[in-house]
Amino acid sequence: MLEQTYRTSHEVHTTMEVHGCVGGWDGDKLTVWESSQGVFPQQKDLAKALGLPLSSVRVIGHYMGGGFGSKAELSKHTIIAALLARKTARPVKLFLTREETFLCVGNRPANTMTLRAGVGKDGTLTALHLVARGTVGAYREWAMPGMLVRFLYLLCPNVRTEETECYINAGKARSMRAPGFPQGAWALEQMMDALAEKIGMDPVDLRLKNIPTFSQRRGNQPYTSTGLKECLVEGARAFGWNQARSLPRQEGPIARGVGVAACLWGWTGAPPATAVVKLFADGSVNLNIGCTDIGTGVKTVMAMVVAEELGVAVEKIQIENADTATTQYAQVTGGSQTVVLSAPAVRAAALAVKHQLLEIAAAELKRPASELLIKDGKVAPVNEPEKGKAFSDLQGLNQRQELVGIGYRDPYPPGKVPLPFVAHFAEVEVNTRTGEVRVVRMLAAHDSGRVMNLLTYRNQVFGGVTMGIGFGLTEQRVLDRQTGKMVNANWHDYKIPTAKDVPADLTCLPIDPHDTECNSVGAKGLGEPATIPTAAAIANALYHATGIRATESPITPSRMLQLLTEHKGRS
Amino acid sequence: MLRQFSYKRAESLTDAIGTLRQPGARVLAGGTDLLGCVRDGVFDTRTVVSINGLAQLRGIRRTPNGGLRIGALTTLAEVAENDTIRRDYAVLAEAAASAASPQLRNQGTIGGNICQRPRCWYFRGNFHCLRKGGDMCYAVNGENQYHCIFGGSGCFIVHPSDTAPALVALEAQVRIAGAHGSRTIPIESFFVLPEKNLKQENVLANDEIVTEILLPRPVADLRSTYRKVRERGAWDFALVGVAAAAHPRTGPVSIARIVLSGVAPIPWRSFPAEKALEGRRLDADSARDAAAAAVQGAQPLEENRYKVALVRGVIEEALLALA
Repeated sequence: MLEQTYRTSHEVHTTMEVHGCVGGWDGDKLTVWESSQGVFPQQKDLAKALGLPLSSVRVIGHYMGGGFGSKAELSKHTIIAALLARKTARPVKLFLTREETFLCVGNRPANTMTLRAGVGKDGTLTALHLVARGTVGAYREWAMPGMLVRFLYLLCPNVRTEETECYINAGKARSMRAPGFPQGAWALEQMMDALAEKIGMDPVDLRLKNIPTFSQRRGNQPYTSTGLKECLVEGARAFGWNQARSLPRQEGPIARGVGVAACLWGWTGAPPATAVVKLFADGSVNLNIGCTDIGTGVKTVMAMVVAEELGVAVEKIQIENADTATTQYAQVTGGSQTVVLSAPAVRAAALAVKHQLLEIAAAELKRPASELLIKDGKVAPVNEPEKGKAFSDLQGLNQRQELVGIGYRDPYPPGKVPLPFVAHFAEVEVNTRTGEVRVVRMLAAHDSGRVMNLLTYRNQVFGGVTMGIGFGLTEQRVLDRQTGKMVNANWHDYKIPTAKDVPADLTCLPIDPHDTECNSVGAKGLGEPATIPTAAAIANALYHATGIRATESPITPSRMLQLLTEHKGRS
Repeated sequence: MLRQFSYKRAESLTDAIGTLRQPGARVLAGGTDLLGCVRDGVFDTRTVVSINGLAQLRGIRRTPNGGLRIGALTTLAEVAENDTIRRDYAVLAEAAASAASPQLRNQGTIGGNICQRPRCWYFRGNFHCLRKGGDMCYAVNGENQYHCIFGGSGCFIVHPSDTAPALVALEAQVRIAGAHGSRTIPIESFFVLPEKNLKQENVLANDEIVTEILLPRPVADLRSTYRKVRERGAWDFALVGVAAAAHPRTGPVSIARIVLSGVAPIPWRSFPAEKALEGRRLDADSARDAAAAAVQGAQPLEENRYKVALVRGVIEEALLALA
């Protein structure tokens, strides 16, 4: 049995693009252009705040420059802009200043977590008990670390979590990329590392020993797939874990070490989602979906789904999205749920068009639909491609001018749990004279189901790891203890990582479990798992390098130097 | 919000100095620090006087006595990349290269770098602190992890410049133009402690401009380096830095210079550390002794005690890099 208290600091989303909107009225109808992660939830909350029917409120959010959760809900500035616009009978543009985005659009709460954990000599986990406190600002918010322990990726017969949310006079917490999970991983994954050492077991092996194929949290229902074992095994192999782990400690002031941390992301996404696909007479396509592209390449991925199903080039597909008046319902782009929810709806809509197209072609080519193949904008008999017709040459299509398909997101398979898994490996160098910690290399092994697009997949993973490095090493909100005012509400003093803080040797290793059950495209979420275990992996590497357990984030040179000085004093 | 100000492009040095006599007039060179100060209301700005048209303030050239003259408008990038500076005055090239970010180094000037205002978050933020004419220093009982461990009294800022300690280590001189002609002073007497002047970090009068930096003829076989510790790899000021120089390479040290950044309201030359080295071979023992001597008399605040250990660490590391 081990017990340890871990602390994390307040993080702020600090998106590149500040928060803001333009709002204007036409009679009693309001239109708002907003940098938003979800136009439909904002429409709903805005309509409620102003006492209007949904049909009178239009929210448009075609483009946005970063959200990380801070633009997932309605903010006060939008209501203020709407009220001012009504009062003045003019459109009102209202954007927050950079400083305001540090203060009033949310943060990741700081947590203090005391974790007790038991393990048998054979590596079997016996008990986990988490007692956590967090400051959530002046209003209720859910963003606590206990979720990670409850949505445990491991198997443990005795799990208990106690959480207390403390109200303080400071900015309110708001969902921030994997709310609660990076904090929870900071505690649990360092504890796993300590337990492994305690029983003399390799930390990868200890995790492998305790991985279930079912979700303890959800009544032992089986996962639709879990690639966690492969993330750990393949990740360790690609990283060179065994060699790196067994290297002797080198002489001199630079200490080097490697560490691992694993996790799952506990949110599956919740339907509904609707998509409409239109095929026009000239063979071009319009895809209509409600979701926002938060910068993850949502539009690219959705266009690829349509392109594959309808046999048309991606360039022929125009996308209209994120407008409550003209596009179909979608949930907020957050919770790593957008591809998971909308891509199956898009595929269903494309299939609906495909069926109509095949029916028309079957009549005109005098072949059963089952013997026809759609490819490169043409329909042809499977064995006689030369007898094919371009879509634009099909009379039936020309008569109707368009084929419209509507797709809905199916419910999840009952009794099964579709979740993504992840393992991160880190190598660090610690300068024991100065307390500087340098992440030398990282490998991120992810089971997020099917890789929809490798470029955008890697982009998510690299971005997530970068945020994780910020959480572990550089970022913290500082409030003046005398006045309560934030003293580092700017981009110089609030230190997000630069390119120099991210290792050039950064590997993304996708693990695809070929999940045919989670949904019709086989993809699980990626955006949030990418940032959850990074900081814990770095802290574990740091322990391997120095024998010092850095329980408080971020590990700045000053904190590290203090730990090194205390360590030297003890030994 | 950027406040209203008038803008004047100076036709000559005399013209610039004349305009600076007006209340609230500020010099614009690279503008990288001025913009933040104006935006944050750190000082009153009614007129901005650009000196960017004054070609005589640019460029690096040899002086008749074999030294180097660096025009105040020379950018940090130009200083960092200059072959002569890299060869003969390495500590300065390294210090310039370690400042800020590539964009800021392309825009910021060496004159501006030594004249920049402190980064203390109370001074920069919405706090009416002592240095801004208020009646208290918020750092003394507040968030003082980035504040000074030497030379504080009343106010506990650190001087933000990386190039200033390098210039002190090189015993550079500063040429200053004013209404009554120009004067040249050793760079060490350019900076002032709060006990002497709470409102400014240097001796410049309102109507004076730094026009050039003068480096003495290089000392043969003087090895020098700048080592900076910061919280992130770029766009960050020093937690602690050291400009170190030693001569000669082998045998007893006859010239030692150890000047710290990030620890005092001015570049902090550590004479005790230099003394600890002089006459001894540069090795692990003498480096450790010099480092220990450097922190004698340090007066840390509640949150910046780590700087004492950090000073020792960077000095040891920098000196061993020279050995």
